[in-house]
Amino acid sequence: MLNINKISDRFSGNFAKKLFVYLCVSIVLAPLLLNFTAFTHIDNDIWNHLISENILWQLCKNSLILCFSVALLSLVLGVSLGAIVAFFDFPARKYFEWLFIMPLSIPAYVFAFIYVGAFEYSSPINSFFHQYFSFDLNPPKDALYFTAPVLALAFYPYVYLYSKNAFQRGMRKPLENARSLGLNPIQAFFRCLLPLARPAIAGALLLVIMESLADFGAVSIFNYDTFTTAIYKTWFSLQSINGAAQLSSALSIFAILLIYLDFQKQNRKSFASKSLVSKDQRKRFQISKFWRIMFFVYASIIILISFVFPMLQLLYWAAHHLQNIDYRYLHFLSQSAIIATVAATICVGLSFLLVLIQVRSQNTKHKFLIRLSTLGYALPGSILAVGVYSLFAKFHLTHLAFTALITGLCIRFLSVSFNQLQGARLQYSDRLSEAAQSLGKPVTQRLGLLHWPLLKNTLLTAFLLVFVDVAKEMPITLMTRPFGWSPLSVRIYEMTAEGEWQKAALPAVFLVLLSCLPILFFIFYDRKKST
Amino acid sequence: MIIIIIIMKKSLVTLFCLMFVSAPFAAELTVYSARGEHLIKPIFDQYTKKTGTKIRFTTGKAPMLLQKLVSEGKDSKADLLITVDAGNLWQAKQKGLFASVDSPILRTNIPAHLRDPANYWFGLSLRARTIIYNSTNLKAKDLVGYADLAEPKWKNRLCLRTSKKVYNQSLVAMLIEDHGNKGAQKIVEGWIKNLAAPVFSNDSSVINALAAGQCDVGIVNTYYLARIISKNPKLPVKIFWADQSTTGTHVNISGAGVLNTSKNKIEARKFLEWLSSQEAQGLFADLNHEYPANPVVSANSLVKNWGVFKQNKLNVSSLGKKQKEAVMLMDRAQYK
Repeated sequence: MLNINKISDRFSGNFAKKLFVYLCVSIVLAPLLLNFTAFTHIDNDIWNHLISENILWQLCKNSLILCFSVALLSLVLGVSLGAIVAFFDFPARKYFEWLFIMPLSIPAYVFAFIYVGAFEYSSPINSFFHQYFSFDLNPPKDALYFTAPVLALAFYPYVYLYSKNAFQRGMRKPLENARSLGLNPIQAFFRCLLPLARPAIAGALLLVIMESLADFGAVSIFNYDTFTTAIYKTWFSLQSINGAAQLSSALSIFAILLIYLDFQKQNRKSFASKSLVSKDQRKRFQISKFWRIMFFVYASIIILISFVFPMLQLLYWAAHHLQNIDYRYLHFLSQSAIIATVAATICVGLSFLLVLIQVRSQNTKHKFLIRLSTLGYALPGSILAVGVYSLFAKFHLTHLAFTALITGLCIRFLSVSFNQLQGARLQYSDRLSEAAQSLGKPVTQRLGLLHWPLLKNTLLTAFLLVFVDVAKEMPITLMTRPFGWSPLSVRIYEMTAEGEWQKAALPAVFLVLLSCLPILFFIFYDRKKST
Repeated sequence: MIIIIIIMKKSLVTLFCLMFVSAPFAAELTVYSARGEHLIKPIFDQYTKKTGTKIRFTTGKAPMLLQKLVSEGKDSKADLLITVDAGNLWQAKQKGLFASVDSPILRTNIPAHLRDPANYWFGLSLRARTIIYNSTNLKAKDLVGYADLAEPKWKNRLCLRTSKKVYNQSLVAMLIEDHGNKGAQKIVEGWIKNLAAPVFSNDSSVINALAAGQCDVGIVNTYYLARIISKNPKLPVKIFWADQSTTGTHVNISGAGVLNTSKNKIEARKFLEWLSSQEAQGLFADLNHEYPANPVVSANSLVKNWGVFKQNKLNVSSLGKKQKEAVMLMDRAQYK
């Protein structure tokens, strides 16, 4: 990383930067572009079927409604939780601050299975209602009413984390100014703070939307058919990988559109605060006992349904299969940890550089190109896996399985760290960097003395997010992992493939434990910092 | 530094020796498998113990493994592909991935309808997809077969798994072969009219729904029921062998074939032959409560208790051929 910058200072900095950007973007876009080459052959009967039976139109509608509902629910949950954690003191706030991230460690399809299992007709909960109240908790006729809330429970932590970080990066002063201008706290929040945190929140929402759009595992458990269902159906059932690639390209075009909209909006406004955040600004507001209790209850309910309940269910199932634990679980765990650490480090490093280059760049096209490097998140995992693998195969590099695996994962999760860092970087003014430059500080010193301290926390959160996401990722890991590797996500897949969900609980519990490690590190790091 | 170089040199020499000296003694096979690790590793271990042949394997979803093999092309190190569902095996053959294996042993061990007519792949275990019923509300004499479940008397009494699962696609492919496209569509439309609940995402949920009384009849693969019954023998759900007086119960397979790119075809064939033998068959099927494909070998006791049944003798390769048609038919019938 640093070497690149040394070289870039010595020679023309712009050239090195451009080379770096083009290299990153082309690696990310290569497997996506591969999908577009599928248009050379069109399976007429499949397209006729998808269009004439009105399937495609219905599924597009379903996808849009699902994305909108999940985004809205995650927005409400994430921002409200982010705000109460950032601004107010209430009992156990410190624990909640980290607990809210935990749902991310449970794969969305495991969430789906737990919730469907808990509320279906034959579940103990329903049997209880059936027996004592003669009332059935029949799942709603439209699967959307079940799918959207559960996906929101799985994805709200993105919005929470992004908005909490944005709020903690010095929102006290603007809030006080707004209050002194006569706005009540609620007005001040909606008219002053929310717009300021917009780039960060928009980044998180894009992740949520893309994740719901590309999700296959969870929606298929709810039997809620989306556009992605059509992609898999075309590939798995109608036996046309070409058709699937063509449909996936449509999905990437939609994602490009979303990214462009967000990009345009961001480009027009400046969100930067002119000063650095002082310690004083991080102080939280004092509130009455009533509100402290209310916030505590709200936070507890959300944690209960989004983490404690699914976790208890997993532990209950895992307890029945404890005899399956042996030394091999150490291997599974360590393989997951290695993959997640390597991928997260590379993702965070690349996005750090890309974000810094993007913010200073004057060229809009160049800036947009950098944003496009986050497109991998919008593709269904299996399609991306096939793309990456066939590229490696084209160059006869399939023996480099680990490299293929990490490349695939980085392409997929670059946006998670990028959006996070971009939100943070846009919140402090460019003038700081310009000032440092005018003082003759070289790039390495500017990175070390200015950007690193300012972005350090965000870099660590970005690392955490990518780590957790990679650890639970299934399709790319399944397809490209080296021989003999069996990380936890693959373990979960193998059990669920034949419907042995309860057996899958054990590796799932280990996955949560693994995700706890970086989170514990954070808590420790936070404590050390505050003392 | 010097020490490191010496160590490296030594290890390189050892590696060199190992590569060239040990190769003739310990053969190695590479297997791509759509059956999970816990269902295949015990069998592989047994083969290694018996013959010394090491087996390297990777697991994954069948369509992804096929795509993996297609992209690897001639570079592929894989010798065998094991997958579930005849449709996947049929596709692998269509893509030119399999090599034909002319083996009298395999022809004797595996019945003709459970292998490819040109010997490109062979069924190794049998998966029967049949009717189950709630034994408190129904008697076996109330049931006939798949087509009968489309009759109005079953209104609000039927539970089905989603049409997106390949098992149902294969079942409907069989119905198309037996009843023609129109006949099959009428049956599927009848099923949809009779549903007691929205379709389920897996067979276990269908069984649980039946046990809880949400519906009276359903269609599942028998090994799911075996798995649940082995934990809860009192479950009020029983098996009914469909269409015994006519075409027979739908069977699918999990099977394997030797890959075209294999550099070790003789070893691969030997392994495949062993998999079809009495020694391996019991274990292969038992690990997942399936039926052995080799008719000489008997199923485990729980499965055996369900009695002998008449199989639909349609060659399972037709299931792959008709899969696309079946999927389109189910879409038209609004089977989600």
